[in-house]
Amino acid sequence: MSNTIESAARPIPVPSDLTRPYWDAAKEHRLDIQRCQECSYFIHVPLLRCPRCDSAALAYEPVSGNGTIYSYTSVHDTRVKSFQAIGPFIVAHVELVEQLGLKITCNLSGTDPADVKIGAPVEVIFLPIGEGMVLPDFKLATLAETGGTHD
Amino acid sequence: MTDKKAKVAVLGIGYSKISRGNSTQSLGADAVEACRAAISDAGIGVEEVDGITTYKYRPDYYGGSTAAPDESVDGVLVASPQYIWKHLGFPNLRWGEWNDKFVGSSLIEAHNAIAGGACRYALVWRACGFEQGIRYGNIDPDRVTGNDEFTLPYGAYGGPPLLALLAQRYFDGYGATRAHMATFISMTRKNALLSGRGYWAENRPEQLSVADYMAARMISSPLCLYDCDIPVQGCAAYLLGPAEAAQDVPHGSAFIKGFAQGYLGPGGVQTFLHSGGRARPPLDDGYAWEPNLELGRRIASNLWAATGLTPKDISTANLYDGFSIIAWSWLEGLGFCGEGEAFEFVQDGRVEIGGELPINTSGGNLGEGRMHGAPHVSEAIYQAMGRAGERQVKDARYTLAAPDRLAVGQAIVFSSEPD
Ligand SMILES: [Zn+2]
Repeated sequence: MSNTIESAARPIPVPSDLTRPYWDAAKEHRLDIQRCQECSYFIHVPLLRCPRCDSAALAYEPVSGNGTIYSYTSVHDTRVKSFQAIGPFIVAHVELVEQLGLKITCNLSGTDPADVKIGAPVEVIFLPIGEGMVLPDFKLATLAETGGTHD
Repeated sequence: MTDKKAKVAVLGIGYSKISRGNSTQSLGADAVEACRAAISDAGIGVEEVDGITTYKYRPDYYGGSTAAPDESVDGVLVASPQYIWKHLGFPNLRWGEWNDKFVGSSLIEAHNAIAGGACRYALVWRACGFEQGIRYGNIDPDRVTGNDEFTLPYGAYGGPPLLALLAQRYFDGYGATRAHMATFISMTRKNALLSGRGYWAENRPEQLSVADYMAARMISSPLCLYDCDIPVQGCAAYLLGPAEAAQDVPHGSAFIKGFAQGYLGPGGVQTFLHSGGRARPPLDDGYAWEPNLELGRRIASNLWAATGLTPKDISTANLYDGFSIIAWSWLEGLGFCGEGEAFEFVQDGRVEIGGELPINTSGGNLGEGRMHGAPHVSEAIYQAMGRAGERQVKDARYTLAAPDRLAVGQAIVFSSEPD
């Protein structure tokens, strides 16, 4: 399995003041998403102001880590050099249960591509990727009840 | 709609050869050639051109980690207003700029400059090239910052995977398959070869059968090699002037009937054209089908109000297809067919030349090469001018170009008459 996504040399995120809380939470195996403290809107990727109400009162809050596969692709030909050494890999957008349209990119690494279906429930996992950094990823949900509807 | 008389028309059009880096001349020389051809086609002299504009970025620029254009690549990978001014002269130039939206936006800005009196004749061009000697658009970062922190560690980068997410959502949601796409792609190649311009017609005049498409190697499922346009070097140029100047032109003109625009950003659907749309956050709804469709409906509502027309009035449409699925999003977004119907709408000859609504009659980007929407603008103009040769759509009174991704897009209607 040396040519799978698990062996890809992933570019390492260098957090900024804006993004550091996200990566710090991941190190503690927690998925924290930026949220507007005025209108409660979840924001990903992080921004300086809320795109809905323009408030600058934004803070990171833990989310359930549950979601569904919004869409996916099997990447056979990539422009990112460090991924060219591996075979086809999945890139997916997962829609988190907390908010309609709140999407996060992932690889569904370790998941059999035949099981990757739009709408399938997934849950967050955490992958160490070197230099102390931990990357949130997702796998098919194991619980019968994966909870949550959009509010 | 008597109050909707066109103020501005496209009077001339010019092209360089379209190559794959096998050209004996530079991109800058291509741009100069196309610009001279457009001016001459309009029957005016360089000294009469008093406005110029173009789109800023090279096609292999995707924001994020890759570099923005700079002077060191001017004439090599871009052709700036300064470059064209230096080489053509324009002794009476009054207005010039470059923007960071596709050529459709340049055309809209030139229209507004003429209508507003900033200039009388405006030259618009789009020069596309790519860096030779490296794999197209490759990047090799070991550290990433900003928005890239949330995509590049997953290998999510560049057009194909993102547009594949859009396509897979559509395929699954409505029951479309690659076989539905195959007939569409095969048709666009056929149209491209009829036109005689573009990468395939000029360099590799090969038909593409449904079987060829089905057997092609996958790039990012469900998109295969032929769902992605091929990077090329070349330039298209347009000369715009006031509508009344059309009477002095030795051939038909394409009157600009109306246009509308939109943008899908972190704040949702917006119907003004967003400056900096290329550098948007990568996880916005730009690659999600449902928000694209919602934006399309908003653009359509503004477009039909601006033109006083309906989809039924359009004789032929040229819909952006830098990645195939985008053309289908425009078909549904603008209301040429219903939600989830595009993949069936494009079957049975309905969108072929001679069909109910011929689309991409010169093959679009997939047929001409990665000219970033210029093929769509050019063909809508040629059709309205009545100069599309074998591809000419009968009684092409109103022609439409939607020359970018819907999520950052604009739609323009041209008319064969000033109305
Ligand atoms: Zn807010």
